Amino acid sequence: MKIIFRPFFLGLFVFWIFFPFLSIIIWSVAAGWRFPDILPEEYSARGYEVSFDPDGDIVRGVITSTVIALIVGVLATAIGSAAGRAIAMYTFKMKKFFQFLVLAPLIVPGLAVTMGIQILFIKYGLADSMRGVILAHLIPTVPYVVMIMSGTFANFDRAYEEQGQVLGASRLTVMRKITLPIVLPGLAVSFLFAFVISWSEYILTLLVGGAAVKTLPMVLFAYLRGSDLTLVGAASIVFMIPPLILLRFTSKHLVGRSSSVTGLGSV
Amino acid sequence: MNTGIKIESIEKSFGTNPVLKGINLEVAGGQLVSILGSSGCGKTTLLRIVAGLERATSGHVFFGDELQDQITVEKRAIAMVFQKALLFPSMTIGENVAFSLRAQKNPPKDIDKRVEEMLELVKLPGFASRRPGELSGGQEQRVSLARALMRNPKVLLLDEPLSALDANLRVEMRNFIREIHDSFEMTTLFVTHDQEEAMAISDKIAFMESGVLEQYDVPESFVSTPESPKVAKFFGCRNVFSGKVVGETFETSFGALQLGKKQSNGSLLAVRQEDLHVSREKSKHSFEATVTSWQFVGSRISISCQAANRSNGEPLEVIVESDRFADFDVNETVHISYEPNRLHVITRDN
Repeated sequence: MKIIFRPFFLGLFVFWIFFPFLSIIIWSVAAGWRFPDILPEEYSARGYEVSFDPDGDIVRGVITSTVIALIVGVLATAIGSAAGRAIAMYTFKMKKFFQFLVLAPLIVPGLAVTMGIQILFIKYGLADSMRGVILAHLIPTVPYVVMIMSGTFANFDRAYEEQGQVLGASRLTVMRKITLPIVLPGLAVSFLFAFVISWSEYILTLLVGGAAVKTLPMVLFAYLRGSDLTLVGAASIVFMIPPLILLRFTSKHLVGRSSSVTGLGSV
Repeated sequence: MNTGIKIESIEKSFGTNPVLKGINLEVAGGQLVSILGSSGCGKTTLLRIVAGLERATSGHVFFGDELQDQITVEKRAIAMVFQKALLFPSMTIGENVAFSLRAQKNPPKDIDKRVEEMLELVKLPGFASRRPGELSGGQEQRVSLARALMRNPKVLLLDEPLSALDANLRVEMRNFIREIHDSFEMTTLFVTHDQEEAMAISDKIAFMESGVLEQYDVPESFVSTPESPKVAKFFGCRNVFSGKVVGETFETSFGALQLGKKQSNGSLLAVRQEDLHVSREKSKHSFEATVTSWQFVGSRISISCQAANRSNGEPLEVIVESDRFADFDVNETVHISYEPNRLHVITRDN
């Protein structure tokens, strides 16, 4: 029984995961695909031609999204690391409260607060601008970094820093040469998470950036409503590539010897 | 000229909990001094204050004549080795040893040569390109020591550097530390909870208990002339009798014992178990007792007796340690003889 069922369920699982991708890949090169055909009758590169048009919405969307996600990745990692370190290594007044405050955006639905954020951002002139979008993207990203980095710093022995100090190294040297290399896996994973979350953020970008900041999800959403599925398929493929490239460079920190990140298993 | 260390009325509290209660300690330049005490006595805290890793609640630390209180850790002329080797995992052994040189504003040009020389000194030649995980515990601790010495410290601080090693290696390493200390011009503070370790390699021992410096002296004094009952007990003296000094004798509840030399006044008498002898014959300096039990302690035999003729009638145990087996029966009446010169009146009775 077991021997028969195992391949069956495995097959079902693989199908479950990959079927959506499969249909997107086929759609991206299909000229038209009608029910009940199993495969399209005609193929076309039109989707990719439009996607890679240097003056097109998609290329511009990719650039905007990349710039925003990179900046958000760096800022969120920096802010979240500091908070994560504080939570893991120091005791201070109202620690529990601050811990909750930092992680609250993971619990409170984003939509519930975006209205308030929008009003606040309009008031301070941050609406409809890249700066505003970057700031807004910190809301869902920082909590993840805090979670990852508080785990990393909980495993970090502060004695290494003291050892550096008693050998004559300044705080800056200690941070650069001792602490940073040790927590690097955590930082890499944090950056990956922040980048990917920012990369696929839609609601916050829409409400804060308005029509002015056109990230790739904004462009993609516009295409989805236009029902040109060939274009949607190609754009979706383009949408998937940058996070996969980033994963390629950070995946070694998600598995194996780096015990700094727990609970993520093999990715 | 070596730099001495002066610790002046150091007090330290964590919250409302006092850890150090007014420590005064002067270490002469070039000496190796152990700070000895059981865990929680404040010895590590004191060392961390000397290093600058911890700030004293009050009091001062001087290196030579130089006040250190306002000087930050990295600017003090120290190097410190901890219980764990703490080799930086992202660096090779060579890079670890070179750390203090590279952390300087103007690193010297001959780093590689100096690293190799230092590794030779700690008997790890050719290890420069290895990584921390490939070494044994003892080797790691030697690298840690080499890394500290590379800074050329005036004051070397060692915080239980041998505790994580196994027994045989500890003996080898403590002698090695003494050798290293003697071949550099520096003053060393060595924190340990191991009495034997402190006795073996120190010029002087500072014995602490509950945040108080109980005695600061050369190693043999802790055995022959303990200043407090705590010291006597920690250094293995099993017999401390109460009484009072009368002329050249010490009057106990089981009779007067002859003191060999003029001693200052005190209400306690320390008598080491190995300085007593049990025999069937009475001698010039002896008192009567009954054997209650005996047991082997290593290759020696420890005999418990009950002092006879006590004025208050309560039992008082006297322990005698002998290196030869004597066939005394339990309940047999014996004579315990002593050497007057070996009796020591404890002046403090805390």
